[in-house]
Amino acid sequence: MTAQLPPQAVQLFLNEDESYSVTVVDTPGFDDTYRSDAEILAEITEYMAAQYAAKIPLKGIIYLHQIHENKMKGSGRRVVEMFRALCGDEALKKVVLVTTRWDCVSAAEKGNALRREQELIDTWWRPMLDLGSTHTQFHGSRLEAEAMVLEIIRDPDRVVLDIQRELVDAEKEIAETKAGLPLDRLLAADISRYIEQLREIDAKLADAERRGNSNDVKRLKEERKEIEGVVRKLESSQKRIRVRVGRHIKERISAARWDSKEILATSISIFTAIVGVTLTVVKFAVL
Amino acid sequence: MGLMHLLRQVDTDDGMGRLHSLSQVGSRARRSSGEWGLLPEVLWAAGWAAWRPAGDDGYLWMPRISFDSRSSRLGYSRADPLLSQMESFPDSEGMVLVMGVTGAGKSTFVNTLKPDSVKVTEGLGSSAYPPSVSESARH
Repeated sequence: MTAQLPPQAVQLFLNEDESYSVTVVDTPGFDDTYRSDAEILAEITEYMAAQYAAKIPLKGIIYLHQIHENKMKGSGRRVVEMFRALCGDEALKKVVLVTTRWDCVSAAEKGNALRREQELIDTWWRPMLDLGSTHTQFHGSRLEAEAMVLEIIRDPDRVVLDIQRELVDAEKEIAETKAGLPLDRLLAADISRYIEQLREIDAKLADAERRGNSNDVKRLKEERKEIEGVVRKLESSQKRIRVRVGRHIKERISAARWDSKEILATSISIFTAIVGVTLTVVKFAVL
Repeated sequence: MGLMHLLRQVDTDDGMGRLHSLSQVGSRARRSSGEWGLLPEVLWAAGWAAWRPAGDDGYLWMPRISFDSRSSRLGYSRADPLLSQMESFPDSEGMVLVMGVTGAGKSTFVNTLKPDSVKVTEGLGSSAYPPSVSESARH
């Protein structure tokens, strides 16, 4: 199990009198082995809702994909679809699709890595590139990372994601949004399937008890317990996305502004307090 | 959660006031450990945050970054600083979200933007902290 780093953000001041800054925020990762898709979606939407509700202009999204990934996992399509649904087509022009870890690719591996990248573009990213997203590589240097961020903010336009309009403006539940609906349906279908299995087991169990077959009774009871655990987890996931996260975030932001009672309380500091990320501030200086 | 994390959070939370920052640290600590197990670290951090060398502006260990001609391959330079474009920027602050599947390198990317001395993975004994800092903080 990889160690979980605390969520973090870096605020880069862009001029000496600190009147301009951009904050780069690490968000929870999709497709985590240890957390359900619903949990991840709920966390990501909290970040997006908090940024929008705190009225911090979103300048763009950097979407990373590790080039060593031999092929997209089975869940790859689901992740890309969820990402697109979160953004909405209009926002895709402010998305930079980046392949990472090129610094770990040896000369001998480079041909294969480039082929993987092309496959990734052709199979998964092409529709987003066609709608205005851009693509680049990241070799791990600070200069590249800075350049990527600066390139994004050169464009004075800000972007509003579909999920932000749905959650914050329309105050929908996550499960009612374009990104959440497929997941909610999947969860509902899975729950129904497992409940049906429980009914079948109950029937078999009653039969085994009538026959006095203690081995079957024991096995079926264990099976039942296991499925009940799965159902509980699925129901918990479903509950996680059946919340009006936008409304909650707006209330928390109002409370944070009220509590701080400081004119100096910036939107960035309120955002970091709401989502609980560590903020590192980097001042600008021409050396 | 390491102590470095707590320290940075206390000291870099911009504009909310130290007391507020501290309560935020406390709530994170509670969330992470499920109890007040990190309270001593929080209190230690508070003591540390209260200490300031003369002339310090609250960003004690942050080396400054440069956007001169060497710092970007895309042509940002001292002669063409972002400053000159900012007059036309409608927003004084902005946000960029870094997304991707777990393991895509999001944390690495964000860490890359920090000066070397504030990387999360460094420990208290790191050379990023002058020995005098931790010494002074204990007094």
